[in-house]
Amino acid sequence: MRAELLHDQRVFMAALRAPLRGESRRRSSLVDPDAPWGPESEGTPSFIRASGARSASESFELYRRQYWYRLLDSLEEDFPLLARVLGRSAFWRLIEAYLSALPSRSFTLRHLGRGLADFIRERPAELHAPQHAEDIARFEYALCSTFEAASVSPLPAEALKRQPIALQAHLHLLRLRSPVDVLHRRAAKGQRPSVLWSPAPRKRHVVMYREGLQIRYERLPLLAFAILEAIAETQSLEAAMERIASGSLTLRGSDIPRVRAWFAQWAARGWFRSAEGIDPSRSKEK
Amino acid sequence: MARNRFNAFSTLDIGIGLRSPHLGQILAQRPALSWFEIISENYMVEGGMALAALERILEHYTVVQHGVGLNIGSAQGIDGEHLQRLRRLVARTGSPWVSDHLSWGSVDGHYSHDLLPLPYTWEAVDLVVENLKRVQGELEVPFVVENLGSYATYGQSIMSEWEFLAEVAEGADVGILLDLNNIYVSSVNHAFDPWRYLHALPHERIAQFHVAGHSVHPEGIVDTHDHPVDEAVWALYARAIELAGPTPTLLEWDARIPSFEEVYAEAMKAKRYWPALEMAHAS
Repeated sequence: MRAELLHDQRVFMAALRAPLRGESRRRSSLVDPDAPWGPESEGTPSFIRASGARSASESFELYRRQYWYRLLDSLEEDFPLLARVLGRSAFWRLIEAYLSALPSRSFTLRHLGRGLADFIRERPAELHAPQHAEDIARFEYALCSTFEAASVSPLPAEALKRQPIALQAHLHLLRLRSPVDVLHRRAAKGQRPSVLWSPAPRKRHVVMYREGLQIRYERLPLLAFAILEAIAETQSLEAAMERIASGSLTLRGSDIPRVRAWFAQWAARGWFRSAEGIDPSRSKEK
Repeated sequence: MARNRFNAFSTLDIGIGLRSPHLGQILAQRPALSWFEIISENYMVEGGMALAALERILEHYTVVQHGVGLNIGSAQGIDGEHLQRLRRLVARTGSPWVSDHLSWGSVDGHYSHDLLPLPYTWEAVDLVVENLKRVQGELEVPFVVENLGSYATYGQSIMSEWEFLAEVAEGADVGILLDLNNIYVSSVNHAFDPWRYLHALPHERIAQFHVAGHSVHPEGIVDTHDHPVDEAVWALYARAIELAGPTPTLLEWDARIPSFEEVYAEAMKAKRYWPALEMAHAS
């Protein structure tokens, strides 16, 4: 008998996640209201019965609308810049494709957009999304993550050489190819981005972090970014600097004072923590 | 009857759902309110702003946890990790009881982010009772189950929703969070008498009430929590509180959220039904 309940719940969930069609689709911002799917009555689980004045399909359709509208609205709330730059119809089309391919696997809506940037990156031909869409998605999801990440007792500057170190969980290192940080700052000041926004590709290295209860982000020189990235991956100040020295970046003697100043600033901001219990393979996104 | 073991014999009266648009004002002005309800899943985070705000609220108010993700109707049982997250949060908040819905919402690791209905069968009763007993065994505070506002029913159901709710509550020995708006929503959508529902329940198990607004669509009524409470729902509440006695009551307003003053005023309407009631129960 438990197996029957499980079967019915699987059928219910599969029917719920089928793309909106008919009137439900027409009421949304999704294009192609008469797209290949048939009328709403198709796909209603056979065990749903008519109730009150409504047919079984009309009853079930209320759940399908709730499913799609709730998730679409949630992602539009988490990715407002992306929605504006793409335009609402294109954004909803993207989100429909994303949710169809990668349905939610978390108990919380906060994690719903976790895979969106990678989804955009992996399907350029299929999605026809502009190149900067991936950057915007990555930036905006980082804002969400920074909001809720943990912050533990920071290490002072003098302790950095003596033990394994890591970056605070609320720090995000973002390798961007477009000036999304500038776009976001302008939007925060009320300058609404346009669907015509089409920046010239230009690499930017941004760190996003939480200071008190404020989310902040700033561009870093490539050397500073690379040092923080190396610390996240090696969990050692010494190993990080060795990696930098042996890598493609040139570390000159004249860089030493500013590197020291960076470390002093970063430590004062509480960016470093003990690496105990942290898996270095799960270091910051790029 | 209203202060019972399911609400830890609470003397809490009218509360409001804690929502982020009101946080700053609540912390600055500290309105006269005995309690707030939080959605447990919103605070199952490692750190950050939400927890920082919650800690400040806890300094001044009682907080009661209400969940949407325990999935006590899941055919695959209770998610152990989620239950542990819930336990840790209860330890942080000191919530005197914890509630969640008589529903399911995930299967095979996929989440609907909705409260989905169950068939009203003995198999489902047994399943939910088993799940609830596991939850009760892990939590150190009473657990309370809320009735759903539903839009679809199953062909295999052999009992009414109120019978199902009563069987689950008695079988698992848990309290009931009676949502009067959900009774009304379901009664319209499924054409049953809400008064029959209300009178048939084991009132001694009612630990808390919810009141809320809904949206009316051509296809049916949806439990949207984005309007003032309908007078038909207040009428149900008036009778419910006569039957159950003074009981912690929470106004839910989760979407198109107005000012704190407006939400507060709406919640305090519940007090219309309290004064005579308290005198009657005191005698």
